[in-house]
Amino acid sequence: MEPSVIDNAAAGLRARRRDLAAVYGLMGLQMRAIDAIDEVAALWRDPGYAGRGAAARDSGAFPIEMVDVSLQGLLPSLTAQKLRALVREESPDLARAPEVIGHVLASNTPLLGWTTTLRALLVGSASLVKLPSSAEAAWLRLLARSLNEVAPEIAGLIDMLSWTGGNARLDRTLACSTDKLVVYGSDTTLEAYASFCDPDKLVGYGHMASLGVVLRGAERGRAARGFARDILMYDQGGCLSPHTIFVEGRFDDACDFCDALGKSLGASDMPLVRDLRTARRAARVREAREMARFEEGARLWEDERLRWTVACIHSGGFRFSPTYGVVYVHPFVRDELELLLGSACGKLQGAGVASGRESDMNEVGKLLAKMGVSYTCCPGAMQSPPLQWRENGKEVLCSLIN
Amino acid sequence: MPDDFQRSVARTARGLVARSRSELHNSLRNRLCVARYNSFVDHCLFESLSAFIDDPGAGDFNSLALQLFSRQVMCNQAYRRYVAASGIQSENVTSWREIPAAPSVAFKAYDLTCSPIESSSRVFHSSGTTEARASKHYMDRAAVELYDRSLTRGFEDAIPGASGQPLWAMMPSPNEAPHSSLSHMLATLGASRWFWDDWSSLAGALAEAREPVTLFGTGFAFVALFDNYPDARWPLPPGSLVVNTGGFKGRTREVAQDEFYAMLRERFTIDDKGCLGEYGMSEMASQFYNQGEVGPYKGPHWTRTRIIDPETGADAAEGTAGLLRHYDLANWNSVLAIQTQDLAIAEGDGFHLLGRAPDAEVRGCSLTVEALWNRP
Repeated sequence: MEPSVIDNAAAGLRARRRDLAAVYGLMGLQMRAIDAIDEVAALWRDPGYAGRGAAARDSGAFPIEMVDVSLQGLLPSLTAQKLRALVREESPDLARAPEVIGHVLASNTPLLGWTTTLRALLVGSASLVKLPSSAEAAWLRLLARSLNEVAPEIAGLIDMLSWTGGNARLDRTLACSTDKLVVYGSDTTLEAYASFCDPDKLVGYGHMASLGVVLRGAERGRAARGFARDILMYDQGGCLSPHTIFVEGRFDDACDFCDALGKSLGASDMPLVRDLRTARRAARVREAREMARFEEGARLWEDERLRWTVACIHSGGFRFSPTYGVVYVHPFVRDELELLLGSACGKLQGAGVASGRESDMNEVGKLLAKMGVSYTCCPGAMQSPPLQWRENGKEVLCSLIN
Repeated sequence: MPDDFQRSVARTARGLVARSRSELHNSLRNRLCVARYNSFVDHCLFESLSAFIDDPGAGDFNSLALQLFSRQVMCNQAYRRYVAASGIQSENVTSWREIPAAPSVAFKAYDLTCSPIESSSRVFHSSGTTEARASKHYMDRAAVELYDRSLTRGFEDAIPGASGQPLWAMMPSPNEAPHSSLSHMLATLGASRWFWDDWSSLAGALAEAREPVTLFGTGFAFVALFDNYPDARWPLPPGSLVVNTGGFKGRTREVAQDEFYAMLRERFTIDDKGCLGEYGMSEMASQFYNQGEVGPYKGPHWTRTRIIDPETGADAAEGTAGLLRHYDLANWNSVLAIQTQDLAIAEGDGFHLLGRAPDAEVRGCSLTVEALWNRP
């Protein structure tokens, strides 16, 4: 691909956005976008919607049964009422909204393209999306198709291209041809874009990981079923996938929970991410298991197909997993939770919390927020954040304003 | 190291050829305290391994591997824990193939040593470019002795043409890099000149070479030399050899293998057979060598290598890629069986390296771009 392709795509989006702004005005464009998103959400809530059929046929690596779990959390947040509430709450200055926002997506979850482009539409901006590969375009293409059904002029504000990451010439062109750049990816990717992008222009979302907490008094079987879903979703590749689950109590309590979690993982009907059986994945899973066997007192629950691994560990606090269905379970006492999370502070994104009492939930929620956790939910809902989620603590709309 | 008493006992023991091994051991066990007995057994095993490295007819790989495995289970606390957690009883292991292989990354997290680390005379580190922690391979005096024997014999067997000719090392000397196993190896092999970050000296020496020389360097050192002298040619005297080890990641620009070998041949006016490759790791005492751009890597007779299908954990089907699992009888003080993350495909009794099983993509928060090679 030549840089001119990117330049031309950005120029086309800019022109269409200017045309629409001239017709509707900036606020009118925003309202039009809200209505269009609301209509799209209604379409996707309909089980008989043709777009869902298309998703079943062509959904890239992520089967619709899996993505549906995320959609169940996302779609209710896309009603006109809730979107207007979000706009009122943040009151973004539309006069300072970028005409064209560039988006760089990672490939680990399918709906990243939805949330980032919908947020852009809510400030009246067009979106030029860089996809990691054409195979990753499936779900964003489905969104564009749905938008095109209800509001072709709004759908025209989204364009997508794909090229392999690390192509500095093309990456730089994207940064230069757009007014704001939202980058999801590795810290290395963020650093690369930061090297040729004005800091005010770059909105970066780098490495983050999530955790689970099972408080004393929680219904453990239910928590285990929920976390099993959170772990298997997207093969644990999302930033909201739990890496370590802390179980209040002693090591034996944690092992009891591991038993339940292992059973739930084994019984889960969650479909596999397609193309899951790769040598790399298998090698990492085996390595994680072998390393757990080295650990004093650690216990393992594992399946033969390498789909999931639960390692109950004594100490060390929050631990980053290689993902691919590998989760660590760690006992804790309430007073020590902050200490146990300390090493990951600043890298924590979300938390699933199972609790029997609301007061316990609130207490732990405050602590997690202090540790940088920006999304707290019950087990099973970790991969289903609403559009209004302040990812990394950033404002949903105002973070896009220049 | 064994004392005089133990040496005496060992000599006596070797003389008692008519008696079975178990009979002998039972007899000795009754006469010696357990510690001395264990030390004696250690000594016998050490001697047997040394003899086997010198002469493949002096022992049996499987038997020695099982004895060394027993020793390592007994003396290496972390490995013993691992073996137990794997559900394996060491006394039930009857083939070297059944010996549990420690993942090479375990050397980063644990002190995989049979002797107290304070008694280590050398510690060799890996030096991945982006790895948070380096592997540490502790070696006591006996381990270093066996290591030196292994690397010397392995080099002599694999590259007989290097015998008697000067060996030049394109890497820091052991004084500058005391934890580099590669520098130690070249020093043990008798490297006469060291070139590191001083490419003008090397360029001058190469230009003046009149006798055959063996030039041993890392891939990135060769590329750095070529990049510093983009138009230079150093025709090496006939019989010269170029031995390349390691990769380029994070050090210099990346160069494809075919391009790299073309550069070696052109810059040094050397044929393909004069270009050799060495594959080793700080966690292992033995090395593998290949000849020419496409020659398979082969290990010495005191090693075995399996190529493991990571999905099944069993041997990869013939002709398919898998992860290298090495069994190295020269790994005295740590573990003899090591599971690497290096991808390879079998060819005959050797293998073709395909690189390291990468994990460079974003996986939540777990990006780990590891060095292609695990050794400086």
